[in-house]
Amino acid sequence: MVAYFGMFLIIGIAVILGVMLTGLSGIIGPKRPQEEKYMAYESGMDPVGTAQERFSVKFYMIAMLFILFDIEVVFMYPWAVQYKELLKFGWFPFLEMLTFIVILFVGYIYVYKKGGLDWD
Amino acid sequence: MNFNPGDIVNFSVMVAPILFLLAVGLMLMLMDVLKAHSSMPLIAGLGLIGAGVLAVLPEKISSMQAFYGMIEVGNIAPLNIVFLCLSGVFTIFFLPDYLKRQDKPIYEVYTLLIFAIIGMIMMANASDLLITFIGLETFSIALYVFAALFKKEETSNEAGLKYFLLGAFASAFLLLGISLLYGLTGYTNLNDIAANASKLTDNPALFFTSIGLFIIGFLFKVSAFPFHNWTPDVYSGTPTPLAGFMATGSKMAAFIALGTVLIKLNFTQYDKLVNVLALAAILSMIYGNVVAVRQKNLKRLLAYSSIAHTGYVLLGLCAGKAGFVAVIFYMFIYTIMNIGAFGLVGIAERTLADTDMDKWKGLGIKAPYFAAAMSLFLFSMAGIPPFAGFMSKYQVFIAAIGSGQILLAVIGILTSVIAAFYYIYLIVIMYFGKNESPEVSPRFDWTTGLGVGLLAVLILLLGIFPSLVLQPLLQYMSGSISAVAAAF
Amino acid sequence: MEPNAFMYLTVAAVMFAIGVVGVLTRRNGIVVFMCVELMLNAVNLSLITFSKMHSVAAAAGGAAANVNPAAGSMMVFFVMCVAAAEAVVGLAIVISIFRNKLHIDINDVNIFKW
Repeated sequence: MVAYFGMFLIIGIAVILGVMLTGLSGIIGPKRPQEEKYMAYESGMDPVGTAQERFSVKFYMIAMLFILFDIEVVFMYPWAVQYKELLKFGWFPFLEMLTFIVILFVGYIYVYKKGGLDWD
Repeated sequence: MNFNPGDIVNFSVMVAPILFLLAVGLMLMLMDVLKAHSSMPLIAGLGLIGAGVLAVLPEKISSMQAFYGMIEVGNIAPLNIVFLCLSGVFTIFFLPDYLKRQDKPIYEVYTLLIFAIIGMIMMANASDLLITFIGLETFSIALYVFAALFKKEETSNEAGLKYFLLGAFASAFLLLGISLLYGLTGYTNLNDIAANASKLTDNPALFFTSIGLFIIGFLFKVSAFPFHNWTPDVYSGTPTPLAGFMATGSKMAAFIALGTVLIKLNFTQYDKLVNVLALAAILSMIYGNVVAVRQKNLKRLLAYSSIAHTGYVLLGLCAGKAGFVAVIFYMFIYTIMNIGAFGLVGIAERTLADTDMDKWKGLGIKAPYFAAAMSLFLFSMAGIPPFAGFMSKYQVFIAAIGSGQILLAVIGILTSVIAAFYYIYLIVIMYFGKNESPEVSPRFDWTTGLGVGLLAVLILLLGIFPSLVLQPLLQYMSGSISAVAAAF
Repeated sequence: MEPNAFMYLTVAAVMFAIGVVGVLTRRNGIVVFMCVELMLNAVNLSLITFSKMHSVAAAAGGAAANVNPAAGSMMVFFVMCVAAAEAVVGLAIVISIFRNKLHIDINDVNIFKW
């Protein structure tokens, strides 16, 4: 049981954080009720209606950009897991990941400036 | 494992051309969004030249790998970088002018071109199958975008979709081949696989399956016979100078990578593999040349001729290690003349005559310089002696004969006679065809003129002094191939 | 029954075959592309299986230990990344076709013939 203590700790923190954040925003957040706000949240789509309707191509842009930046994390996991081992190489592993992130950041600037993240 | 800061410096020097090109590519991305569009071609060209210089600047290393055995930096690798960068430089001569004439101010092209060349360099110099795959995909994805560049035009859409679907399909086969090779040997590193060659021969069925799938993936990329169907459609839908780049740079990278892998596996000892490659070579030569005769559209004609040229290069590849220098030499010469020919067709597209062959009648009188340059490239492609195309074909045939592939060489020579027919037919049309349409003169910028001039001079120069390229090639290969050089 | 390498490889082979058949028979551009993705993921499964197989062999020692178990797992990361990049470009092409034609039936993409 002791071996799983870390896991339970994380579950506990996650539950507490989740309850706390939604609870707090419910308590102290401003309340201006509108009809749309009480509908089920479907990432901006109309939650009721036919399932095969066409939806805006804007979703595609966001989804693609999300996939592109999301998949990069795949390279950070092995790096992060092995980081203690890699410390014997000094700053080099850190610099390598920094280079990787800088390249991604240039990509992000490109997307931002090209208007890829604008909704309208 | 010991580690010291000096290693980082050595390491950076070894992969300097790639890192430099990466920096140039990122800079071009930023220039694009900062609207510094006019100097992008210049920066891209200078970046490519710089990377080429960086590659040959350090003294020659026999054979050495960077990234823990993943990328070859010694041996022939620096020259591969130079050739691939040059293919990019040649393309850039024609690009800005072409895009301006088409009224399509698309500046992402230069960024993508740089990234494509990084991918090609990685693939050509890979000594690990992982890098081969990543390099292949890096440049393939850039080329998919090139094919679909004019997104409002249905022809370009179609080219993009066909290239993309078939390309992805082929890379899945390639990947399955790599996976099976890994399952068989336990390594993806080529040197390790070569060191464990006994594991390959222990299980011949699986070995031939894996290497067969691997070769299928590559034959698709170089558009060899059974996997050639996409080529004419894609080239005719792609913006013309980029089609030239697609036909040369990517094929050169794929051929070098395929050659490296096969030679590391010592493939000439497996008759089956050689026979498969030889069959693909023969069928590509025959099919490409015969079908090209009937083409009326110049871009399609060049596409079929590129299938035929693939056959000639495969013929050199069949010769094993002895043919490898000939393969690289052929691809370099082919790069020069093909980018030149596609560039000229690109000039003709809006101003002179379109890509329709009938409209090229009488261009020899109406646009003499243009026709002269085109004739030069066509003569060279046909393999007429004083031009470089002859030398490259000669090298390939000599290598094939030297390795005992007499039949292949004979078929090669016979099919190049067919090839000469349709190349020279076009020249005849240009000079002796009658055309009543009013006078036109080609409109192009000085960059295009400079590019055509440079390529034409290179064709003549390398036709007369092929050793200018062959000598460094042999030198970097550490004189391991002397049979080819003996002729000069 | 204990799952073994053979079973995983069979699943991978079946997935790959389904992908190939799908690419060859389906007419919707997006479905064709999904089949290509299926093929890539089948290869991923086989790579992971081989990687595990080799790591078991390496742990057992002896002549079979002369392998690199990490290489296969590592490759999977890159294949996933490449597949994502391909998906982005592929869907962009499909959307530009859709904008011109209002459908993506690949039998209808046939301007070029011979």
